Order: sequence, then C-alpha cells, then structure tokens
Amino acid sequence: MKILILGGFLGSGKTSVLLQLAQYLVQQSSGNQKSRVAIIENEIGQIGIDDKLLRGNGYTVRDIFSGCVCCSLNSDLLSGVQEIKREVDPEWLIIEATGVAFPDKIAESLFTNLGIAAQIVTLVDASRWQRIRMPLANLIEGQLNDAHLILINKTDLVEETVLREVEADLWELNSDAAIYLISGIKPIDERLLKVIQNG
Amino acid sequence: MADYKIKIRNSEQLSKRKSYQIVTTLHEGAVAMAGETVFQEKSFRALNTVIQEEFAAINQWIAARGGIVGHLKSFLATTGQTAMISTTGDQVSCRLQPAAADGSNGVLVSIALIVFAIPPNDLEARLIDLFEQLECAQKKGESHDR
Repeated sequence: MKILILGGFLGSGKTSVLLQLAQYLVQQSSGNQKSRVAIIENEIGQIGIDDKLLRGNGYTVRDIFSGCVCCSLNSDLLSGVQEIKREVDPEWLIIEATGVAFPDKIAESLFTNLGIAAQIVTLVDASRWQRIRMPLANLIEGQLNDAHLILINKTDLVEETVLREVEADLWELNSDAAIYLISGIKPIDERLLKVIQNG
Repeated sequence: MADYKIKIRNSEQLSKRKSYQIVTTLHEGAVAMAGETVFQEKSFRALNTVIQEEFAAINQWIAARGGIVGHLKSFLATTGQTAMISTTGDQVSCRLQPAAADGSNGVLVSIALIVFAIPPNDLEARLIDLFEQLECAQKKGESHDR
C-alpha cells in the first residue's frame, strides 16, 4: 500500500486534485476498481464537507474530523491506516490533510510508528500566496517542509509576473521539491498525474 | 488545539448552537466552526442562493474586521442533487452535481467557516444568523408552494 499525503492551505484545491488523481489511479489499476484507492479525509471542523463530495463520487472514505491528524488526532490516523490496510488493502491510500495541517508531521508519524514512507504533495494557491504569505508565515512555510512535489494551483487567476514571484518564493522555501503549475479551468495533465503516481 | 467552548450567557444562542449542531475547533490560529441541519426538500434552490449571497457578505464582514478568510464551504444534498459552495475570500463558487435519489425528504445543509483573527463568539453569531436566514428562505418557499 502506497501512501500519498495531499497538503496545502485552506481552499488551495486539495479535494479537486484528489478527485482527479484518484480517478487516474483507478484507471491505471488492474480491473479498474475504485476499491484500489482508499481515502482518509481529515477536516478541521466537526462536520465534514469534502467527504460528502468524495463519497458522491463513489470512493470509500474514512473520516477524521474536528482536529488535525498531524497532532491531536494522530492516533486516529495511525489506527485508520492500519484498519484500511487490514480490511481493504488498496494499492493507494490518499490522505487529504486539513488546510491547517503540517504534512511533514503526518509523514514523520507514519514512518516512525508504522515504518511507511509517504509521499507529500503540497498545493499552493497562486492567487492568495502574497496575501497570506506573511500573516500566516509559520503555517504556510511549514506546509512546504519535506514536500516532494509542489503544485501551484489557480495559475489562471494571476499575472505571469506574480506567478514567477510565487515560484521564486517556493524555490527558496523548498529547493528539493519539484514544482508544477496547474489550474482549475482545465484537467491536470496526464503526464503530471503519472509523475505523482511514480513518486 | 482543542474543542473550544465559547462562553455565552444568552440561553437563546446556546439553544440555537445545539439546534444547528455548531461545534468550534481551534488549530494554528484558525477558528473552524461547523454546523448542520435539514430543511424542506422544495427549498434547495432558495437555500443555495441564500448561502452564496451570505458567503459573499461574510467575506466582506471578515475583511472589514481585519480577519483572514481561510475557507467558507457548504454542502447541500437533496434527493438527486448536491451542491458544493465555496469561497476563499473573493468570488463564491457553486458546483452542482447529480446524486443518487435516496428517497429521503429534505435538504441536508452542512456549513463550515474557517477563518483567522476573528473572535469565535462573533463568528458563531454570524453562523447562527446564516442558519436563521436559511430558515426564513425555507418558510418563504413553503408559503409559495401553498
């Protein structure tokens, strides 16, 4: 079971990317079965919103609400992962973190406690980067730590110069990550989905 | 981070919090407040409109107070149809999607407001106000149906 953690600030497009990625992974699996992809949906609020959308698309979703799996709900995450491995044993487990979580802490916990190395994909909203970068610096910068891939989303909403500034900031914050541009107005390129799949 | 209990002496507000199942969570400076209730099935379109308008108003309200909108989102589900309404401070988007007809009556309305630098009790009052406007919209829809 491979684990992918989808992180990034609130409203950066994690659920939309998850839907496209899950669909691609299902298509790539033998038998084209939705059961090959399991999803853990972590939402900061007590009542889930995104999980309802994901279930509506036919995926098996395990909810962890009212907190973050990177800290207070970490034990729920570990038991959830073990349960999914035991009962479903999918090819892929995608963990959608809350928009205020630190994905590197989730990956660290999975590795320390379960010996599983997870891939981190962090989304960045290009249209809001400059507005939230400074007031929420601790959170925004922390979400980029150890990301293997950074997807700059909503690129259609900003000027080219702004986009270059965002890219330059991201290079400075995490020079190890591969950076790709995406937008909500067209589907994610299959070549990029393959990059994510291959880690 | 903790489940946050807002101190309110007003019993009417406490009862409304219970009625709409409002719960607050705090994490990394964010206030996440979520509530849920069920309205009449015939009011799906009216409820959708009110939520979109109110999300736009809440965006302005938060900006005017120096706060930051993290994510305002709502999911409406009725038999055969769902709507996902979302905003991050600018435009409000709505994605409609067909759903399986489950035969249930009513529209399930879930709302989550995740914001920074706004007092939780003010945000709770705003969320209660939104649910009350939805009740009004639903009642108007009912009277039109008669």
